[in-house]
Amino acid sequence: MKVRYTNILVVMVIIFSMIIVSCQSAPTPEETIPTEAVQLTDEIEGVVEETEQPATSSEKPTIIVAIDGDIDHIELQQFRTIAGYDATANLYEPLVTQKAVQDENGVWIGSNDYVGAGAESWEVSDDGLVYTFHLRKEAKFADGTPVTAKDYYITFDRAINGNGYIKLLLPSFAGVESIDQVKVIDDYTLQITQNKASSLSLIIYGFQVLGAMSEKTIKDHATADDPWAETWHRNNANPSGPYVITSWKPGEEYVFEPNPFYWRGPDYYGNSKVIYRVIPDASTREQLLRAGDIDIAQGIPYKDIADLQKDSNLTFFKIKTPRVYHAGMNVTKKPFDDVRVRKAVSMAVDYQAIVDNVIYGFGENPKSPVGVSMPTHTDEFWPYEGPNIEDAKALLAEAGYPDGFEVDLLVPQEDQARMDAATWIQAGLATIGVKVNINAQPTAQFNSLLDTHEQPFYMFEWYSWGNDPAFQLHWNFRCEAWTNYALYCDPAMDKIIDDLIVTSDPDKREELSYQGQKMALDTATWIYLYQNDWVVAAQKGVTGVGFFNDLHTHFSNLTK
Amino acid sequence: MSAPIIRVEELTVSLNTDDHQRNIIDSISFDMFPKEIMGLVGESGSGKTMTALSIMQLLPKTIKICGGSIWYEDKDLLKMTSREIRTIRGNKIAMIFQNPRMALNPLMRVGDQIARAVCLHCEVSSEKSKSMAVELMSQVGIPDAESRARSYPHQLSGGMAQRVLIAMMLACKPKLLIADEPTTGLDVTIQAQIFKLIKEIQSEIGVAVLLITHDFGVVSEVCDRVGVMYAGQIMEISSVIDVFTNPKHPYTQRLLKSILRVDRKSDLDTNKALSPISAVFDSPGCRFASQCDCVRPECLWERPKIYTDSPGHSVYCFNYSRDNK
Amino acid sequence: MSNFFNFILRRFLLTIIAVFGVIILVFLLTRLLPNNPAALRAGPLADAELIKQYEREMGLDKPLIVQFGTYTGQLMRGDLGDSWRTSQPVREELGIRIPATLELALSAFIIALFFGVPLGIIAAFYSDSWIDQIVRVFATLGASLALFWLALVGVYIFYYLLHWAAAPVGRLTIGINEPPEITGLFLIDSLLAGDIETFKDAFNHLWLPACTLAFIVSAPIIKISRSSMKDVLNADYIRTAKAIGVPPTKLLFKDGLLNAFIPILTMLGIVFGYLMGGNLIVEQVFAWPGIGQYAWKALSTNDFNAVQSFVLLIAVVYVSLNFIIDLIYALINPQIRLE
Repeated sequence: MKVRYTNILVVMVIIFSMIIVSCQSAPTPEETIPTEAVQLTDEIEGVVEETEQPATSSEKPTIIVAIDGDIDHIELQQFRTIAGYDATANLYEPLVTQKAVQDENGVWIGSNDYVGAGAESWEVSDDGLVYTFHLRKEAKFADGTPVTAKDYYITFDRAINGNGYIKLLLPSFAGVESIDQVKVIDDYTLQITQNKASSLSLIIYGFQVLGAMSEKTIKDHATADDPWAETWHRNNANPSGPYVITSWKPGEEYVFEPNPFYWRGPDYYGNSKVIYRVIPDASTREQLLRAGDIDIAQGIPYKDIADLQKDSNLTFFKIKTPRVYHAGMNVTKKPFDDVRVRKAVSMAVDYQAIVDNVIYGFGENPKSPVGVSMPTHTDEFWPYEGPNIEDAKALLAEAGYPDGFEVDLLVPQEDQARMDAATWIQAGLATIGVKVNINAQPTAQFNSLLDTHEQPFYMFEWYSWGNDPAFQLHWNFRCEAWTNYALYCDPAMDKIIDDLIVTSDPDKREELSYQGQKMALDTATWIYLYQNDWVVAAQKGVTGVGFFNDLHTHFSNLTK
Repeated sequence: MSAPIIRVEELTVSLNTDDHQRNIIDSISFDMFPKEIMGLVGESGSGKTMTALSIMQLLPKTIKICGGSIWYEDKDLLKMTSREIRTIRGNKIAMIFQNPRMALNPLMRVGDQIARAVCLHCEVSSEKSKSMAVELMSQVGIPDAESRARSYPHQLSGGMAQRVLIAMMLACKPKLLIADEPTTGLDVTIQAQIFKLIKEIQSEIGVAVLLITHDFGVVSEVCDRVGVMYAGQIMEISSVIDVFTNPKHPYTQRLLKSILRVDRKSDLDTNKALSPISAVFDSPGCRFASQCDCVRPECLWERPKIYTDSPGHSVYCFNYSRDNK
Repeated sequence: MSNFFNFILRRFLLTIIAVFGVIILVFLLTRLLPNNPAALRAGPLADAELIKQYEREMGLDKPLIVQFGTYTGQLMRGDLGDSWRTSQPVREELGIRIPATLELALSAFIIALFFGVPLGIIAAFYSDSWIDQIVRVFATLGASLALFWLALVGVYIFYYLLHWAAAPVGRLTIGINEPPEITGLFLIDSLLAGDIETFKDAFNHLWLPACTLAFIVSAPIIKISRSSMKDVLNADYIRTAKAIGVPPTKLLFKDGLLNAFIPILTMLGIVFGYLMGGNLIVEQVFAWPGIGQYAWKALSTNDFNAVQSFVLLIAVVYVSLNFIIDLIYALINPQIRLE
């Protein structure tokens, strides 16, 4: 018996050592993700302490934000997630930025006016083709080197010639197709010569995707396979913007601290640190908020807000966003190839019920493809007044479907709101004899199916980075646009979009936008469902939450 | 005759099922004397194994002793605590079972299993117990005992395994060895060897053996005395010679007749006609009555009194007690 | 003992073959799925040109057998490819998350083991008594309660109401630094570093999710322990042991447990494999940065390399567990070892 127990002991030791070995061989966060930015700032902080009063920054609060989704990475021109959006926008500073204004609730909102950021001032030639930016001489990267025109040049270069997606926007919306159109006049002057005038140029140049990246840093980390140092920039940064990222734990936590070299100086910051903590479960976020362990919670389900509002220690920020949810109908598929069918279907839906029950009143029906908070929005072409079964049935009969028809509705199953809205569509269409089968698919599968352009009926949403109708119409109604899943195609609409891009006169643009909105409603390729508010829950006393076109929150305003 | 080492008095054992209680052993009494081999014979379900397990106090949980006493020396086993009974089990009274290979722990070396039995009751060192285990193994006729001691049960034949079990049970020289169908599942030549071994041991160390079997042939070859059981009652107890030459009880007579008909293939279990049907367990009288050719009215509602034909030959049957009066 | 060595060798070879089989299967499975990874990587705004370019870069235009060769070659070098969602090497991403899952899985496993096995055995020993009834109710609860609900209620009671557990924000309180990495298990690393504060903090974060998981997985462990112990206690050799006067505790733990342990061991292997797969629900509720959440995200974004590597990892965990279990079997059971 003795012998056998020693055997077991030996095996136990082997198992345990295997576990240990496997742990050790697993790369550690410290080893695998070079946190050069952290080391940099550590050194820099030492410098700061010598020159400034360290006490001022330490008195400022740390703000803990619970986020629902992870940051994928922070490669400025390639990130894909909303959290990545937030992060990069606070790390990199573009030439110009939306002017921040506070609404009546104290929420910071990006207006449609643009002001200098990296650029102190700029001029546009009379023909609207040449943009000359005069850079801020005091602007510095987090490593202390000055931000110069060369840095913006390389940023544009990698945007146009690298693997990022901004190159899909630059030609059509800013008339920039080649890096030859970008010129370094001197260290602090950058000139861009567009091949067409565009009313959207400043919006494009204001995207954080074109924020200044250090030429030196890119060159230091470039390799033969990776000339743009994309790999390094995925989890490192030498920021030109107000913050640096000092801790990077994917799926767990990201820590942002003020960039000590940022030109606006220490008084600009309302906090000493912003911690992004990934808390995937909504009810966990709510409990953490109630218990006071976090300051701000993103992604609180609408249905829980009424209950949370009873807690007097919490405060809520509610912001209108032009994200338009809709059910799209493919005009190349029967029976949706007939506009009468599309209109009949639109008539049968109870829009108010959807706003009340799906988004619990946190939002509204945009009644247009151009969202409520987007310039030139109008609901004057909206033809529907609650469910009109009689007329819908008549129209359907006229189109040759007196007994209705049967159709599959593609829905991403992880999005509860869209799943709920789908059942309301199902119920509404049942009243006119149309049988809707809800085809719920995992998001990835949903996207793949959508990309086949073969789906007759699908639940989609669209949000344009640039707060302008041109973007909204371009991606959803232009003949060749990939995301025009309804496959609607009308040269007249394309013309309106083209004109919207090049026209700068506001009145003219409004007229064009109205025409576009009217055409979109006339063709009825979408059932307009809702645009939901962006709601952030926070501890009472937290201020500085905002919503900008190019990001969700300017960290620097956050304080408590 | 010397004093009995085991005296079973009016032992009643019952099986509690959901709906009712059934006495599967109904007030049986018998004595066992030192150094004798007594057979307990009967069909399956006649209660012979339960009788043995009652003595060992190893009855399954669902089966309870509900009356009588079992005297070992001057102590009632049924009134002992479980701690006290453990000093008797294996030490004073030992038991070997059918399916010997199944009765050994498959994960322990056989030598260790024997040595453990030695350790439990005889205060010896573990080294000593191991050498004693080997000795015991050669004593029960296991060749090359030294190396066999390191074997595991699955490496032994059935006969070997039974020898190991016997060695284990003899570890502390018990006064009584209960052998419950020790040769079931073994082939005929091995059976003979095992019985030979049991006889040898009995004579060498002077242990009394209670041999439970359904084979009258074995009884005739091995036993000194025999008790015949039917449906939880003892029908007849006598010396082996008397039972064969002068069976008294109608059941015993029937049994012997059926053996003679099929000659040596004397397996009682093959005689389906004699198997007790469950209804007889509820009878207040003689449980064989419903099958008996010489049944009397009182057999059906009254337990027959003991009739002693000659010293050591007792019968429970009204045919004799009536005559005796 | 040479038999034993042969046995190990045979098992080891079988394990290698099994791993290889898994690699083929995983490879084929992801190739057979209808989605084009190049198109997914290129994103919705890409044109056909870009997709073609990615296809070339990813080697998707080559014959399947060549692709398989490249794939296994990469695996040999420990290269699992890059996640297209995050553009990070999958090996690193999994490497970061495995210690979190391992710590949670091991803790839950140990709790379930030291809780479930004895409970099952006691229930078997006192079968049909009130103890047995209570244990059975407990096991039924564990098997039937929804994990999601249990985790939420656990958080509400032990964190929000009682403050016994730390805030469910992951492995450590926000602002507390990780202990220097040695094993990746914070409890052990903090002790090795002599950092009692971090140890306490890690423990406060760990115990609730670990107990929640343990409650669920102890149900099958209790059931199998109870039933196999019951079988063993009815076995002939237990009666033999009783017949030679072996006291009940020895009977239970020496004769009983070792014999009952073989089916229990199989269940323990399954349970540990299940726990190592990373439990999405518990990781969600407790914001635990483990591989379950990672796999879920990978799956819902069709992140091929990540999904493929996760499946491979779990398969290797199961296959190795089986190997280890076989070894333990052989050590316990001479019949396997010697024949």
